[in-house]
Amino acid sequence: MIGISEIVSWTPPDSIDNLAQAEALGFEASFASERIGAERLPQLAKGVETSDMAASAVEALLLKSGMAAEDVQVLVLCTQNPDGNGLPHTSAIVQTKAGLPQTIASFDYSLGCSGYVYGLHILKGFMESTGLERGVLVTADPYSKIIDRSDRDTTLLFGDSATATLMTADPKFDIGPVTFGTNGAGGEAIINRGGKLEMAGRQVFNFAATNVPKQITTLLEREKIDIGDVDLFALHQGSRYIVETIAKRLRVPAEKAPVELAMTGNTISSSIPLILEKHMDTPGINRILASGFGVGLSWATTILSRTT
Amino acid sequence: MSLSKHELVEIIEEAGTQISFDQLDDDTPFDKAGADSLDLMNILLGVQQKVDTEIPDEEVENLDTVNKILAYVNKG
Repeated sequence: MIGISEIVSWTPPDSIDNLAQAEALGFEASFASERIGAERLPQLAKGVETSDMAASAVEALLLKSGMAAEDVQVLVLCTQNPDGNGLPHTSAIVQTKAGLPQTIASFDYSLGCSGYVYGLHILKGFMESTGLERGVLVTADPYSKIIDRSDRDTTLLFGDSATATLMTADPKFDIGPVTFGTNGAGGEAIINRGGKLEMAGRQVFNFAATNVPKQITTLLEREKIDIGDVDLFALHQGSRYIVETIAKRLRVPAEKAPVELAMTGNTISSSIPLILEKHMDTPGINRILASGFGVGLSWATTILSRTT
Repeated sequence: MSLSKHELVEIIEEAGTQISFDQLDDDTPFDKAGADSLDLMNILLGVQQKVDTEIPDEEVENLDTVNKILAYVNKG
């Protein structure tokens, strides 16, 4: 069975001081640090493309895993902010920039904050269907391309970061049961309008605080898993406030649902793999619930189980 | 739909806001008792779920005290 073998992230060296940004916009600095939970927001330097951050993540993954570039058989990339206008697809550009062989399969898919959970199942299904044994799932969605720095609703939230997940037939974590949700009628709550991100905070909060705990509870009940038997809740890091709200509604202790966006902000589809990267080798973390929610509106929850 | 003061206080407590209850009376704006915009969203979501009715965005600004929320929800 195809599962997760390794995860590595790449975050741009340049970043915005979010506390200073908050004060300049008339907020208390503590609103950025304590409520949103982001003190710095990494952003791509001018001229650096989505494919560059993706290729950097792939190169870091190959270095850490010891896998040779020529052994990669498939590359899948999650983004809604691709190079140029998305044609050609960014994963093809990454194939060349990361020195991957021309024999690989590569494609992009378009999802926001639910993208990593989807991507695990997309790539697992693709590999099991095709018989491929070594695949890489990349998340790279630099919102700095579409943020209006004068927009108080969005500019304090988002940071740029890419991740690369190695998926093989000899994994550390199996990718288990999953459940999905979509509500296109609410889609305008997070939208790219004319090249600028717009977000209706209250709608997004209501959506997440209502649907995500319900979906998590439904999945655990369906799979007959006691919520206390989940070692880690890797919740999409929309903000400190939303992570804490969801954990509270689930009655999950805060230490099991970490808030880890202080140095990155909300990194869209990269936020869950950033948490997994940090915790997947921790002894005692054997069952992980990952839940992503946002753009769409779309929400998805899956369970990962350690294999050894 | 109806909402009692006791139920509203429970919603506020359950939301885990920054509100300091010793500074909150029925006509004190929530922000004067320590709440911010996120807390208000959280309180109003709790109210919506309790009474199973959506509160439109244009009403939110006016619903900044216990009494105003009760009056809005219980207006019949």
